[in-house]
This record gives sequence, structure tokens and C-alpha cells, in this order.
Amino acid sequence: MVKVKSGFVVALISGLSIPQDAAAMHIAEGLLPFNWAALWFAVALPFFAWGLYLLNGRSREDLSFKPLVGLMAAVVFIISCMPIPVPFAGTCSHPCGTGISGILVGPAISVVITAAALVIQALFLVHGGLSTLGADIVSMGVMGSFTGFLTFRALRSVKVNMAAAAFMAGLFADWATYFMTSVELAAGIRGEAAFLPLFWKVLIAFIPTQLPLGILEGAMTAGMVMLLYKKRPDLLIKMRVIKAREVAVIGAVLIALTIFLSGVGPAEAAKWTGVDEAVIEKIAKEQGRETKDTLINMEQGDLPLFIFLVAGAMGGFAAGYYWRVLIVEKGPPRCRGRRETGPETSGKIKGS
Amino acid sequence: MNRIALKNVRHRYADGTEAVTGVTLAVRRGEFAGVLGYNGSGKTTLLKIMDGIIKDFQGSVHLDGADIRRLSSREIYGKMGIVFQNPNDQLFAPTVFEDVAFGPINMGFGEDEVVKRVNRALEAVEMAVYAKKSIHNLSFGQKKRVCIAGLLSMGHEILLLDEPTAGLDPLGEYQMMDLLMKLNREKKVTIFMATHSVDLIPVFLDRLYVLSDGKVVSSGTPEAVFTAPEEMSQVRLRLPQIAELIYRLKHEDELAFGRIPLTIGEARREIMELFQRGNRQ
Amino acid sequence: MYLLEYYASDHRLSRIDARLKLLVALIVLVMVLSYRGVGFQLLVASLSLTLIRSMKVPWRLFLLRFSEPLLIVLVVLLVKVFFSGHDPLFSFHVLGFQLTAYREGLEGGIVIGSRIMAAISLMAVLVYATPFPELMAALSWLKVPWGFIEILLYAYRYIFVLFEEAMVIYQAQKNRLGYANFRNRFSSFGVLAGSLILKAFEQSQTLSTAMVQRGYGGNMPLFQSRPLRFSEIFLSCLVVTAMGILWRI
Ligand SMILES: Nc1ncnc2c1ncn2[C@@H]1O[C@H](COP(=O)(O)OP(=O)(O)O)[C@@H](O)[C@H]1O
Ligand SMILES: [Mg+2]
Repeated sequence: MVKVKSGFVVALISGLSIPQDAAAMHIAEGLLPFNWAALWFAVALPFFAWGLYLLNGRSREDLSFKPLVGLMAAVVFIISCMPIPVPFAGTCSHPCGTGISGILVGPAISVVITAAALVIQALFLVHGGLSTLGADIVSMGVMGSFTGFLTFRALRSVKVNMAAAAFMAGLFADWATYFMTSVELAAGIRGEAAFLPLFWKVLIAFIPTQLPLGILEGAMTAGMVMLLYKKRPDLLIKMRVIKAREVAVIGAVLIALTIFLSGVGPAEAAKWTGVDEAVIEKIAKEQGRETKDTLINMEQGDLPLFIFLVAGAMGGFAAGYYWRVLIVEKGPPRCRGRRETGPETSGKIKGS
Repeated sequence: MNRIALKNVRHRYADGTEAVTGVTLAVRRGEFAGVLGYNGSGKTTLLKIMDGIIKDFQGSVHLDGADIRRLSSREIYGKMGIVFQNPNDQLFAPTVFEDVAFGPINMGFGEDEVVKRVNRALEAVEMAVYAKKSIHNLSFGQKKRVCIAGLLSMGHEILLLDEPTAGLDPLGEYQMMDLLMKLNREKKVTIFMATHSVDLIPVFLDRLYVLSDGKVVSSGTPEAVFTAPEEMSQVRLRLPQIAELIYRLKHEDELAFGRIPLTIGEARREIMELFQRGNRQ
Repeated sequence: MYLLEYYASDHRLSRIDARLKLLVALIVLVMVLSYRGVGFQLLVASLSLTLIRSMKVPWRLFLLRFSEPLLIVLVVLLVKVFFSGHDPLFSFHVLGFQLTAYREGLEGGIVIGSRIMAAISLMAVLVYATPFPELMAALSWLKVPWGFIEILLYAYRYIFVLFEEAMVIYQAQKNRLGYANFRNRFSSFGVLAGSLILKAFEQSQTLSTAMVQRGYGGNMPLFQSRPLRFSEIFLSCLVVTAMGILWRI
């Protein structure tokens, strides 16, 4: 137990100290004013209800389905706690796993999965928040799952091989999430300013992190689908991801995957070598021994890497995500239909 | 008298593995019996068949005289339950109390009765003080006890246990077996367990079946089964260590032991007897 | 993994029914979100922080939990101060850049920052003072569909199990030089994530067998909660009214 505890603490420290990763997908509690938060709840609701309806139907046929969905939510939760370096931006970010869950259980139920992971993250990790849950469900759950699912199905229907289809699904799921988050932020924060210019700025601010992150998410989704395909094709058939006769064609698929992976910035990789060598050395020494270590291993040479990541994250953070605030007008955002009070707004807005 | 009777049971998994290849055995009312076998000998598969989880087997399984394939899951699980080897496979509620209460609530009892049953079950496994605790904060052995309590709270008469002592420390193993024996003697629960720990069995079990390659190769009381080390090593098992020692002393060093004791207590008596005889000579 | 847990097992607040706590917290949260100034936010934040301190949450845990939002607040503040507004407060040179702080930026940053702080510390009080199962029961009382709460229950329980699994796989990969170089890091991660999904599949199978054994028919039963005490209701109303009055001022 102690081991697990310390493991999670470190995972959490790394999650917490890398704000860009949290901010990249989750909108922090309290960031959106009431009317915007409510609007996104309203948008998310029909998708969520639809997912829940389908879920109830399927769990009547298959008693293991609800536990499965719960466990998938746990997997999505864990995946999004694992920081991954994004070399282009010099920061760390995490995949969201919504593409894969969209592919596996269908987009609507995947919205429910995402929502469950988000609620637990909001309550216990201060990733996102209850008030911004609606917005987060729309960007991660709805956009991520539907884009991932539709991309996968569309590509499969024109006989694109599975790894490539999964890769594109993960990629587009990630980018769709990023697009939607930008919309939500720009709209929620703009106040009196025009929407579009602010939106573009937010979108551009995200690019250094999100473009490579999308590729990463794609690679990961492809890796997961192929692992399932190799180890348990029966599951993919059961989940109606593939048809029985498809379980024959495979081969060049893995090569495509490898090529994609090797395309992920070999030049930038050089930047990390110094750190990595230290890690390899340490590990080589440790080989065969069961070590008690964790996601980011403080004692064993990951520390420089870790500090590097944090430093990178801070820099990227300041310059990137929050520069939307550049554009915000001097007054705080207006809240239609509510009493406008508050010390510093009283003069300007009250009469309007 | 037989509560569970298996006749010529065979099972082949979807991938072609023949896990159980012709098992005939019976579990009698109120006994503490078990199946002994190496890893992969088919114990888990056998228990799953007995519990009605695996249904596509050949041969027949009867629970209290009724064909298990004809029984509904409610009828089976009203009498009998299985404790899996890994407690995480069956503890799903956030806290101990809620997990143990799951069965009784599903059986439709009122709140007072549920609370009463949960408390009784937790007391039986000596976990009453942990009722409010989160499952994930329990130790491995405590989790195993909660699993058992979850079945006891439903008032099961038959418990099937898959490797109940695996993964426990030496004292924990002993306490677990002690707990099972108490349930068997005091609460009249019929117990059938799968295990590979040869040292514990003779102390506690009334009767056992040795499983190898999906077949029962020998059966009877521990005394009848643990006779010669050669036979045991043929099925990738061994005698209990104390028995092995006495066996060697008897056959290799030609000391005049009457029979091969299986437990420390018996061995002590045998040795004392031998000394006394020797002293007299 | 004790970060995720409620802390105040012997605090007075944890004796109040979870349903009321949740309700009050949500109402105050709405007030915070729709308030256009700073005063109410600071009040909520400081009240919440006082409560959290009185629960004797260790500083280390507390800081861990708040480090992310604090950082966000700090950055929002800095960026707004230096990049938004017309009315300069002060300016200085750094690395050849001229940085000017603006008054409007400072005000705007403080507004957003205080809103985040208030909202987050408020929710923290709720989570620290309420055990997870009670919180879930409270959600169902607020008519959150039970099917969804079931999913949350499974997810919460199996995060711990799957996390342990992830650690084992991670260690196994690392001992065999997975994650050793840049490319390897990604493929290793893909395998890790895929294995978790596999594990989830398999675990859900055994889990449902175990549940069927114990009478599962498709729905987790809900344990009845005790009736609300009058004093609790009264106290909650009092708090909401007081907050409401402060909010309107
Ligand atoms: N789901 C399964 N599919 C295919 N083969 C299986 C499955 N489960 C177990 N087996 C195989 O069946 C045999 C018996 O397994 P098991 O009953 O688990 O043995 P034990 O519990 O005695 O260790 C083993 O060879 C194992 O590999
Ligand atoms: Mg087994």
C-alpha cells in the first residue's frame, strides 16, 4: 500500500506541477462565469442522456457491461494522470483516451465514461471542476469521442487499415477537443471583446502543445487498438469494433505505426538524450532487481528530466495558454440577466 | 449426504486447452474438503464448474441432487458461493460495509436485517472494526476476509474457495485456515477449497482430491493421500516437510517409525514414542 | 493514494448529512460564479480555508492540492497585470523588454483569480469533509441518474486496482529498458495503456460473475440514508441565507 501511495503522490505532484497539461484539456473550477458554465451543461446534457440510455440498454443484455464502463472510466482517469513530454513545446502533457473509448464502446457511452472520469478528477484532483464539468464534457467527451469514433468508422469503411484508422481517430479526437476547448475559453472569457480574434489567439496559443500531443494521442490509440487486436480479437468483435472476417488481415499495419512513431520529432529527441542516458545507466544497474519506484523517479536520474519538464511547463504556460487574457477588456465579463454588482464594475455596467 | 456431486466432468476452453479431463468427486454435507494440485492443474476451472460459472462442460454436476445446469443462478447462489483467488475480482463497493451488504440487499432483506447480517458476517471473519474502511486501504489478507464475509452475509451453506491462503504471510495462512475451520465446525458451513500448499492441508482438511492434468489421481483422507514422496513428485507436489523428514528417517536411515505423521503434533508423538521404545530396549 | 480521500473524520462538519453539505456547496458555488467582484469571493475562500485548516489537513497535502490552482491564479494575475489595460501602475526593464503593469489588468486578474480560488477551496471543503460513498448517495438524492453513480462507484474503486496494475507494468517495462529513449517512451506508453484496457475488460468479466453470485441483476442497490435532522436543515438554511445576503451586498 505504501508503495502505491508514494507512487500516486509522485504522479500527482507531476500532474499538479505541470499546469499546462491540466489546462490544456480541463477548464479549471471557477474559470467560467455562471451563464457560460450553465450553457455548456445544457449542451452536454442531451449527449450524456443519450449515452446513459444506451448504457442502460446494453447492460440489460450484458451484466458485465456497466462494470466495464466503470473500469474504462478508471482507465481514462489513470491515462490522463500520466504526464508525457511533448518535445516541440518543451512541456509535458497527457493524452485523454477519449478516442479509444469512443472506438471501443461507441461515442455516446464514451461521453458517460469521460464524464465519470471528469467528476472524479474534479472532486479529488482539482483537475477541472464541477462548475466547468459541462464545458469539459463537451470538449473532451462529446467532441473527442464522436470525432474519434466517426473518423475510425469512416476510414474503416473505405478499407484503411486498422492501425492507421486508429491513429487518425486519436489524432482528430485530440484536435477536436483542443478546438472545442478554445471555443469555450474564448467565449467564456472574452467579456466585451469580439469573439473571433480572441478565439484565434487561443487556438494559436495551443498549437505548440496540441499539434504534437495529437500525434501522440494518435500513436497511443493505434498502439492500444493493435494490442487488443493481437491479444484479444474476440473482444473487439464483441464490442462490434471489427467484424469476424476482418481478423485475418494484418502485417504492414505495424510497420505503418512504427513509421509514424519514428516521425515524432527525432531531431527534438536529441534534446533529451543527456537525461535519458543517465536513466538508462541507472536502470541497467537496477536490472533484474525489483525496485520500488514510481512514474517519475526522483532518486534515479529522472529528477533532472522532471525539473526540466516543470521548467518547460512554466515557460510554456505563461506564454501559451493564458495569453488569451491579453485580449480581455478592462472590465470583467458581463453577465446578462443577472444583477451586476461588485465593487470595481459598479460604475460602468450597472446602467446597461 | 452429498451436497455436490461431479460425475465425469470435462471441460475444454475456447482455445482448445483441456483444463478438466474427467473428474468424479463428491462433497459431503458439513465436511471440510479440498482439491490439491500444481499451478495449471485445473483447480480454478473445476471450482468454476462446480459453482455454475462455466456451463459448457461435459458430464454432470449435481447440487443437492439437482442438475446444476437446470438451476437458476438464484437457486445456486442462495446456497453456494465462490471466493476467487484475487480479492480485487470480487470486491467492488467503496467500503467494507457496503460490499458485504450487497448480497443481503439483493436478497431483498429490510434495512435492519441487512445491518444485522453484515455485522454477524464481519464478526465471523473478525473484521467488524473495519466496517467503515475503504476497500483499497485494506491489506491483502483483510480483503480476503471481506470476500468471505460477503458470502457469509447471504447465509451460504457451501463455500468454494480458490487458493484462500495464496499470497498470505505464514501467520496469515494459518489464521485463514483456522477461520475456515471455525466456520466449518461452528457454523456448519460445508467448505471445498483449491490449494497447492501441502503443509497446511493435513492439519485442517477432512478429505482431499489430488488433481493433475485435469484428472483426479488420488483421493481420501490426508493420511491416505500423502504416502510416498515419489507419488507426489509425479504430480509436481511433495509431502508436507515434516512427513518428508520422517519418511527419509524411516526409509533411508531405517529408524523404526510406525507410520508417517503429517503434522508437527503427530510427528512429535511418533518421535517421543520411538525414543521411549529405544530407551527401553 | 490517500490524496483522494476525505480527511475530516472527526470534524464537526463531517457529522452533517452529505446531502445538505453538497446542496449548500453547490448553491454557494453558483453565487461565487455569478458574483462580479472580489469581496464575496475572498470571503468564501477565506472561510473555506479556515475550515480546511480546522480539519487539520496536513500542510503538505493541502499545498499539493492547491498548487495547480494557485499557479493558474498567479499566471492569470501576472499576464493580466502586464498585458491588459491602459492605466500604467509602474514599469521596469527586464532582459531588454519594457514591462508595464496596468491597473485594469490587476483588477481583472484579481477578479478571475479570486473566483477560481473561492470555487476551488469551497469544493475542497466538501470533498475533505465527506466520505466518497456518502457523496455519491447525495448525488443520487439530487437526482443524478443512478446508472451514472454506479459508473462512478466502479471507477473510484478500480482506479486503485488499475493504478497498481499500471505500476507493475511500468516497472516491468522499465526493467527491460522500455521508456529508455524517446521513441521507446511512446510505444511503451501505448502498450501500458492498452494493457490497462485489457485488464479492464477481463476484470469486468470476473467482477460481474462475482456480482451475479451475490444477486446482482443489473443495478447496484442503494443503501437507504438516514432522515435529515431538523438542526442540520436549519443550519444549512442559515448558512445559505447568510451567504445570500453577503452575496447581494
Ligand atoms: N480462460 C481460459 N482460456 C483458455 N485456457 C485457460 C483459461 N483459463 C485457464 N486455462 C488453462 O486451463 C488450465 C487449467 O487452469 P486453471 O484451472 O486456472 O489451473 P489452476 O487453478 O489449477 O492453476 C491451464 O493450462 C490454463 O492455462
Ligand atoms: Mg487457479
